[in-house]
Amino acid sequence: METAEPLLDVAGLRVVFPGADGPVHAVDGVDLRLAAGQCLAVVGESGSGKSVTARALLGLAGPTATVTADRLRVAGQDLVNGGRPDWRALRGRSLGMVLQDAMTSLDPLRTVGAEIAEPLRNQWHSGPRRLLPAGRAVRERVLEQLRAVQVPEPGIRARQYPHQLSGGLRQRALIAAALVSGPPVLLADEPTTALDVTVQARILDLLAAQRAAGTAILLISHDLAVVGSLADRIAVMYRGRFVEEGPAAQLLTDPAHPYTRTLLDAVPSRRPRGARLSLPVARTEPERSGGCDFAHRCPLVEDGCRTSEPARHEVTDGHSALCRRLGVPLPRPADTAAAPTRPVSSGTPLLEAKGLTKSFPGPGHSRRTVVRDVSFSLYARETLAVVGESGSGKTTTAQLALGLLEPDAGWVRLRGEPWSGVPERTRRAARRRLQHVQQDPLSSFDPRYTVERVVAEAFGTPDRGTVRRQLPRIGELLESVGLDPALRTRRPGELSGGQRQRVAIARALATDPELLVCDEPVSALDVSVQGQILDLFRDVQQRTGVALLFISHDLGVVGHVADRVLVMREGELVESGRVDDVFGSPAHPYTRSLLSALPRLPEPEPEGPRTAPPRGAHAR
Amino acid sequence: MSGVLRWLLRRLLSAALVVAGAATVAFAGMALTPGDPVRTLLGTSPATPEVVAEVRADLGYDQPLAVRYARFIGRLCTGDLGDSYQLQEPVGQVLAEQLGPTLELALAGFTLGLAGALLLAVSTAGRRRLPVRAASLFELTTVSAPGFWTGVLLLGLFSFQLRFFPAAGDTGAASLVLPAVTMALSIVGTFSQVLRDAMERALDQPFVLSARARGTGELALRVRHVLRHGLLPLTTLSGWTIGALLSGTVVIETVFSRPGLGRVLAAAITSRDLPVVTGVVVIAAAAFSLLNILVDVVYRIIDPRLRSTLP
Ligand SMILES: Nc1ncnc2c1ncn2[C@@H]1O[C@H](COP(=O)(O)OP(=O)(O)OP(=O)(O)O)[C@@H](O)[C@H]1O
Ligand code: SF4
Ligand SMILES: [Mg+2]
Repeated sequence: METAEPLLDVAGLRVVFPGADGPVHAVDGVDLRLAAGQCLAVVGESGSGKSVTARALLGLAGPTATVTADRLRVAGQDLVNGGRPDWRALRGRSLGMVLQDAMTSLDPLRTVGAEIAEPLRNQWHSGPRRLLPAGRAVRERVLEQLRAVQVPEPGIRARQYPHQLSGGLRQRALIAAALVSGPPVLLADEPTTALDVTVQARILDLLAAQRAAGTAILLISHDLAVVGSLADRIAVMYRGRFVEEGPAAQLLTDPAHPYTRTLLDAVPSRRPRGARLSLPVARTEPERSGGCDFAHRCPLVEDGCRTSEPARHEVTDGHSALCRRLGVPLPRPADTAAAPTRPVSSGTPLLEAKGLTKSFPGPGHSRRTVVRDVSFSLYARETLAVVGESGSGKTTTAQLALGLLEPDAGWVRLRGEPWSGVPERTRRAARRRLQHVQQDPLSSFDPRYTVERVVAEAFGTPDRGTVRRQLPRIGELLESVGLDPALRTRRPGELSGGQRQRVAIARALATDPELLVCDEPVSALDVSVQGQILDLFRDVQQRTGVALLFISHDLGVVGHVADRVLVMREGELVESGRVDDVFGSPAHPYTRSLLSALPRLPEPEPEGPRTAPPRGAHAR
Repeated sequence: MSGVLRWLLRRLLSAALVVAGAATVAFAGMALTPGDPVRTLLGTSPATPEVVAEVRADLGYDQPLAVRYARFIGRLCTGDLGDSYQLQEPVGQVLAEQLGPTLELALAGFTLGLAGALLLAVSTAGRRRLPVRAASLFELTTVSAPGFWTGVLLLGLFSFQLRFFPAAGDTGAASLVLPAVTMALSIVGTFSQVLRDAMERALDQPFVLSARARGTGELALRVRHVLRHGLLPLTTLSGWTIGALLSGTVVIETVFSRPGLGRVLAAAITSRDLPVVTGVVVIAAAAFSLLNILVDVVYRIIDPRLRSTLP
């Protein structure tokens, strides 16, 4: 496998940013090699340095970054010892890059075709070496590339603007732009994040075809399942370092580093329903202190870990990890209640909806029916999930349930009382019994409010008087969602995504609601934080008996948390029932296609003593 | 496309209202300022009370204000701006003669100013070095320098000292240079500040990183991508621009003794030549409204996201 010279050959890559409290070591000694037709995946939580690593390979780490490396060779070109590297010649031609955010990575004022043609025009300008006739030839090449990434009607699409394309098409356009000059290496940063499962599956197929055609791919993702379906090798990044690297199958089934193992344990689809996904977390990140960076979160930590840095140990050939205690079994997250008691779905439902229909004005005088004849009921202590692709009417259904929208037809009842079709005055008293948790909690917070005022909003007015009166209760709520009450004077911008979602849940719980409507509550979070939040939902439900209406496009998450599930497609309910039944033996073809598009991880090896002690584990 | 037609009609209607409003304000301004237009009209020449009364009746000044206003608006609707008191000519004819040189000046000044601002902004946006500071200093100076002062300075240097350009009058292209430069200097600073600001904001957007990752050079990046984003706020500045050009013509035509609407307006105000003043105001308001419609169209050309919102 390693016979030919690798296209990417990097050793000791370091990127340092100046920060307010000392330098930030975003990338801290990364080694990687990648040959033609191979795919190396880099996984890790948010902020671990994945994107910075990829950008540094293109010389785009940013004007404030200091980038150093012992070796940096790209497509045979030495960028460390070869004088000043000609980055521009490299970009697009040797390395194609698909940047993290598909929605904003295309210039909104230029046509998609012009964006894709850009690398060609750049080449054309930068020398007579490959004089491309402008105009026709470029246009032909663009259409050809659009066809290659399976964009339907390339002629039309090329003339459209980014805002006229769906997320999946934009991502394809970006990939086309990265590939149009035929670079041997493709860097793809989170190419499937924020896409529906079916679209995601098609993008992954596309990348697999590229790899088969000989392109080397560096795939960056925080989603282990996505990575598992494509990568030959996986590198797990944590705080700027590859803490584990090895062949994909082996790393996923038999992870060595405690961090990799906690990551895999947090993947909902791999764990039994209701099982805990996360280990208790330290509430604050400590400073770098000479010892192992993971020590404050590591379930296997011992005294030696805190004083000396762990060395890289081989697990097997080509599989290594940065840990001194390889092979020690990891405690699984303890299950407080191994078999969660099934809620009883009988008696008066907490919330009942019948024949809900809602349409919105469309272009011209038409109306677009977004929800059509949807019925469901939800009982106390129960979790009901709504799944479907984006645009299938999930959020509208949630808003109808919350009484934020009035249905055109059909009705909603809360504990048997009419909830839709009554004046807001009647509803107001009962509003506190239903609460809402949104996908992006930041947008629902006033950025100037402190955490305590955000939570106090739930008690009515968020003034200082309310905060003072309710202070003990606010502290209690923050504790109950696993937040340090000392955070209560922070502002939303100073919190991490997971902390913000916890604040949103604390606020929702302030009124002791009977029902939480959660709209994509974990889709903006990486897998470890997602695991913590899902555990939190479960704890809260067991403690308070609150019912959850849980909206998600992630079937893995839904399979893990929900009791019953509704599958929606283009506003209609295509299937509903117990999760085990629907996911186990889907009746509707649409459900089947959703489930088959879901990337799956290999089953973990059974826990227990390893068959062979890892080689090198006792090297020092 | 009846939608576009309807949109245009609506805009034209509101333009007409703006013109009528402006004319009303001009009328009121002239009517409320102290002094008797008939006396001013007759000047220092001795006149018997009979003559004064006759002229007054001739001009309609013996009528109450409301009637005068109604007549004024009525004539305006037929396109008749009345006769100048001073020049004894139809206002329409006077203004038509003067419109050419003024348009020439405004257009030349605007083009020059825009070109300068584009050059400055494209070469300095997103770069933190000496050129940016030099450009900022230049912009600040031009923004704070009054137009007549710049004009007098240029005049002193290039006409009286170096004798490169004629000092006064309208004698072909050479005589346009200094006035146009003066005009350009009055707008270039604001333009380039707004442009650079918007371009720098655009430079922080993810699509810029994306373009860089395709091997796009810094100059191409600014010209192909970022410049358009900078032009958007510039178009919303059009109201200020038109105002600056209009007031600029008054000052510059006076300083350089050029013929034009600005100078006619200045003279008409001092001599209380009501028809000429209102005529200029009406023309300015019409130009303002029409240019704003044009700007709206340009805005949609630059930003494709708005094209679908054109009803
Ligand atoms: N231009 C910059 N200036 C200063 N710090 C930066 C800059 N870019 C990134 N960082 C820091 O570098 C670290 C790594 O960031 P990076 O974007 O690589 O994370 P990531 O692993 O890609 O996370 P995500 O999954 O959220 O995309 C973070 O601590 C981040 O704050
Ligand atoms: S070195 Fe110690 S703290 Fe670090 S990962 Fe290994 S066991 Fe955990
Ligand atoms: Mg990233």
